[in-house]
Amino acid sequence: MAEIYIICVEDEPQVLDVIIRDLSALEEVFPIEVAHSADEARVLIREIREDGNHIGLALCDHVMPGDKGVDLMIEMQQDAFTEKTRKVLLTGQAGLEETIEAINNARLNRYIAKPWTPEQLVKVAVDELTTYVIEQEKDLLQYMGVLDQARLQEAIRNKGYI
Amino acid sequence: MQFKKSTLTQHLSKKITGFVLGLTGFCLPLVFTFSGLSFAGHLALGIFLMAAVFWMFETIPIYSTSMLVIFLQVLLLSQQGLMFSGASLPVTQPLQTGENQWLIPPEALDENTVYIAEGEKKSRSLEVKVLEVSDMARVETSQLSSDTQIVSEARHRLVRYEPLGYADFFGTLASPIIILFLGGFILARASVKYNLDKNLTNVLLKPFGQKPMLIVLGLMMVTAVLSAFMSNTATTAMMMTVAIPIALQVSKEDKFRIVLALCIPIAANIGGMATPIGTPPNAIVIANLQQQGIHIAFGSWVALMLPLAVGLLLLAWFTMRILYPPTAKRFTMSLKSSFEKGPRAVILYVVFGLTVLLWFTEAQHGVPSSMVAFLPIMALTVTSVLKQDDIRALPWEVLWLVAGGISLGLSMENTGLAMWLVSSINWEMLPQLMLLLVFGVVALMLSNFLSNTVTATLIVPLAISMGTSGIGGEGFNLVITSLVVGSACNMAMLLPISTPPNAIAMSTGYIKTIDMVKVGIVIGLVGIVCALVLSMLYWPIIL
Amino acid sequence: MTKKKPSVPIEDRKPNVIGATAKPLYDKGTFIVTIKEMLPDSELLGNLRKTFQKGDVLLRENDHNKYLYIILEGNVEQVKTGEDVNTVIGRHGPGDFIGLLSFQTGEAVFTTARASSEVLTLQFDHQSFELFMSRYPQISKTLQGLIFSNLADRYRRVVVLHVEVATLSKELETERNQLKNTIKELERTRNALITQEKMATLGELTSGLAHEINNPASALLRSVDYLIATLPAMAERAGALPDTGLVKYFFKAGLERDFSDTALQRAKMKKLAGDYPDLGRTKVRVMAEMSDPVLEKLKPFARDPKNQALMQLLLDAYQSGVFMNGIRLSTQRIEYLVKSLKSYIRHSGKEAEETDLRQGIKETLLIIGNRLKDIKVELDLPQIPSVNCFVGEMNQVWTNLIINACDAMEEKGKLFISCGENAEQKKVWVKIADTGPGVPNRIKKRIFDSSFTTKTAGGDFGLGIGLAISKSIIEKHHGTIEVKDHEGGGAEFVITLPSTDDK
Repeated sequence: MAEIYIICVEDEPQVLDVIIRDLSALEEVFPIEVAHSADEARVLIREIREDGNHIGLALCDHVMPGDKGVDLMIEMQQDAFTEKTRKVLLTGQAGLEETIEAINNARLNRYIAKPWTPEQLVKVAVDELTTYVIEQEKDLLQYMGVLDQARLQEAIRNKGYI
Repeated sequence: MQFKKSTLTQHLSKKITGFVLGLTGFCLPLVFTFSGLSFAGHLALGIFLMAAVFWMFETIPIYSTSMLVIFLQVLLLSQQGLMFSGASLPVTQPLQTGENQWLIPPEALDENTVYIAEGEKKSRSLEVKVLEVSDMARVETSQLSSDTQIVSEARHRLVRYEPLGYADFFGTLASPIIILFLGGFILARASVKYNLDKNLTNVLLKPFGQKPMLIVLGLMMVTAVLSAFMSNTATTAMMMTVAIPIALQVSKEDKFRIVLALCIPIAANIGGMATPIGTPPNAIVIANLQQQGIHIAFGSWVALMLPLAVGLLLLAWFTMRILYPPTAKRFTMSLKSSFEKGPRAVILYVVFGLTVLLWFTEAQHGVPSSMVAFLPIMALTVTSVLKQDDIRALPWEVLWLVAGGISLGLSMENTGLAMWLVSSINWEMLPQLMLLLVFGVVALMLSNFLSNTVTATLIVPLAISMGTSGIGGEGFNLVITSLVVGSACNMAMLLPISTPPNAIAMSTGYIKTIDMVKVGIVIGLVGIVCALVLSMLYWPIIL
Repeated sequence: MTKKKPSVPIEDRKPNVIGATAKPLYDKGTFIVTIKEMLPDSELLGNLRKTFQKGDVLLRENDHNKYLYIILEGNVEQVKTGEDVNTVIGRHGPGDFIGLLSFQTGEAVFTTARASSEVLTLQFDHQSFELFMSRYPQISKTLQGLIFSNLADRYRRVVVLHVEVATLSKELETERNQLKNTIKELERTRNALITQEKMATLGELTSGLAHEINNPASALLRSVDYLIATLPAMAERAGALPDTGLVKYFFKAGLERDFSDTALQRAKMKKLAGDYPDLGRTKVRVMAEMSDPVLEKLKPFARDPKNQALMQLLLDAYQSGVFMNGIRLSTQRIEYLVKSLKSYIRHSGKEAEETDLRQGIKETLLIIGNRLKDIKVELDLPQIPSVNCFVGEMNQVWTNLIINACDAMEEKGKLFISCGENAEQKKVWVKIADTGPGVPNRIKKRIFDSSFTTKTAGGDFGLGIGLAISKSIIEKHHGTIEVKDHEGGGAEFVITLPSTDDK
């Protein structure tokens, strides 16, 4: 069965370590992959596509060497493969203009300011992934263990299993 | 990656096999001639074989197989179809050669049967004593007179087959049982839309407390009740969302997760038995009996099946309790119910209550359940409780599946195919009970691999024809046999592929196939025995 | 401006003020003709005749005067000596009197009278004047009338002058007030601009700093949380291990973890996931980070399903090391940042201090590091003598120049910073160059003007007076700043400052 990945793009290894750690509860259902830059992320996205898997959530730092996080997200928004991916900008600093750009052009779904609390990060990830699976997946029961149960229950009842 | 490829090729080769086999099945009766089977019977056998293969291999979706069946029936078996539109019986008159002795063309003789024409397309059979066959056949019978028209070609396509009009095949889609189902669908859809299902669940679960096995019992009871009115699949999906949060309270290794994931599909499958609208196999049984002029009221069905359903529920519960005793002491559940109070929700409650009441009191007022079923269809759409989108969202393909099944049953009876199939085995050696057992076991086994509806479609007409033909013998009761077959179809829950609810349970990842098999075997085997016991001791009392 | 010019029109314009008739009381022309007719016959007049060449001085200012001159031919100009300028205040022709006041009153001469052409005069002293009066009583009446007319003329001119001065000073007052306001306005604008520039620099700095500090802060906080959650359980379980040295080993390995390329990492993960299908991804990920010798040590535990608890313990030990290292690195970074920031904003202001310029440049680079992520910075900073300067202000110069370079390169390119010493002139120089489009020659001179900008108003950063501010700071330090073309394109700013010569 095709898997739904979470990808984290962040140039600082220490920050990446803690992001993975915070999201580890989701990993049993949604494998996490990481990239240190937008270029690495492109390779990663290609690999995931070639393996026949999907990307449910992209967590992206904004300030990185090479292309900025927002640039990567705009690119993802324009690619059919990653268009439906939920996109979250995770950053310690981004000007208002960049945020607006991200919301308008990259269909940025959420914005997390550094430093974050694990509850905050997990909640955002869970919310976004729940939206993703409800929109994209048929079989929702398998996600009840880690995602938003109430929303999934609603979706399951309404999805036409009758 | 590797894994994916192999499943893909597997999938593809399965499709190709199914396609080849299906076509072979369709052509087989056209190439070979089976004695005792009419021309139309051969055509019906072809359709039957192809449909059976396509259903089994799911070469095409099962509802589209049903559509194909109806198409082929209209094309090949209807009065207006290719085969029968211009045809009429060739007739001749027998030549009397002595007292009760007649000379007839040898082609008019089918072993020791001749056919007397009763119009252009209708004939009846007459058994004669064959004295001599040369260029003419000499037969002895007291039933012929010199002005009797006999069919000159015993093998003519119209012999022993009176073609139905094409509208009869199409009409299966509007048959009373389909309307009954539609009524059920409409009620279910509206219940989901106004959260009636969720709220009922929470209300009904409350009295079961917090002890693990009591919770399981509660879940099973509620699931069974809901699935008696809603589709098994929808009920399972919904109840799983209630069970999973409980399962998450125990560790991954805890066997109690298995119980929670398993009890729902089992209860849904069993609950479906309880009412005519619970599950499509019931519809097949009822429709086939209807064709024989036997009407089973909504309330009677419940009276017949409820004891079996309750018994099986308890059986499953005990079995799981023994196999997977719970370790945790108690669980917490959030069971907040807030019934909607808007005018449309109230309309739904009233219509729902009234419909169910009328269904159960058919014996008192005499209005057939299908007619009652049109009440919610009308009331909930007229009042805009359900809108266009809701109507579109109904599972129409299930109705097509059932219609195809009913239509195929029609031809199996009508062409003599069913009787030919059952008469090819010498049933008389078997005592009545064994006969039921054989039907039950065959239905159970088939149904574990095929869709329950499909199994019922294939087997119920055979059981009925046993009764109508008298092959079944003196004590054969076609209603009871059909009920055994019907319930056997619903008891198939051995494998993940057996029923959609099982597949849903598997998708949680909490259970392995072996868990399902363990409980499934117990329910299947004990269930058949229970059904037989009921068929001997209890059902005759009700009927 | 001569006195005559305005006097005539004003006379015409304002007859009411003067109260004079249109025609002079006595006609100068008639008088001259009469005198000239008398001249050949009169010995007295013949003796009084005196001719001046052009430029000859008839009367000198502040001298005492004994003569009254009557001009018969030619012109004489009256010159008043001011503090540093000589102003011609009047021009006189035939029939006019020169030295009338000083002659009559005996006071010092008020204005110098100089011939502006060849001039023929009658020169009277008191004696000859009396003589003339008594001798020619028929003209003396005319002469008196002329004298009176001359005096009236002078009086009239004074009144007009007064009026003129009053008008002028009024105009001047208005103009002065306007000027005052304009200057005030200018000052305000300039202050506003400077504030804006400062705010922009500040904004640039704080947003950069937010990122620079929030990143390690996040890592720090979360790592600590993780360790708090893990360490007690680890300590408890460590006893079960046959060789507790293993925990230490894995902890150390975690401390020394190297972050490899993510694609390689993924490949390793895939392979490990294939080798150990029962292990979850979280475990496999940690394993994939381990170096081969560390992984070898883990393998016996990974294979054995009974040893999963111990395996987890070792993974936790490794992870704890990783996080501990993360804490160490993050803390170091924050500490360094704070240190740099402190020294960066050390706005001593009061006292200039002896500083190594390179220090400030390095701190600036660190603090605006977020702007430099895509820019390759090439430093060539050999030892240079120290400079007496205001550190905070110099840092502002570095910030302005580096951010300008980043803007010019649109965040992508190379930044060269070098420094050196000119020992003979006792100067040090710093060069900041980029690979941007460079500065076109026609605007090179203007880029240090405070009104100059290549950025649109309300643009992303500053108002383009950064360079002007930088220039004023450099000049305050008695240094120079100039812009050149950098070799191979781009702009190069060269700053030269006097070094403190104590070597």
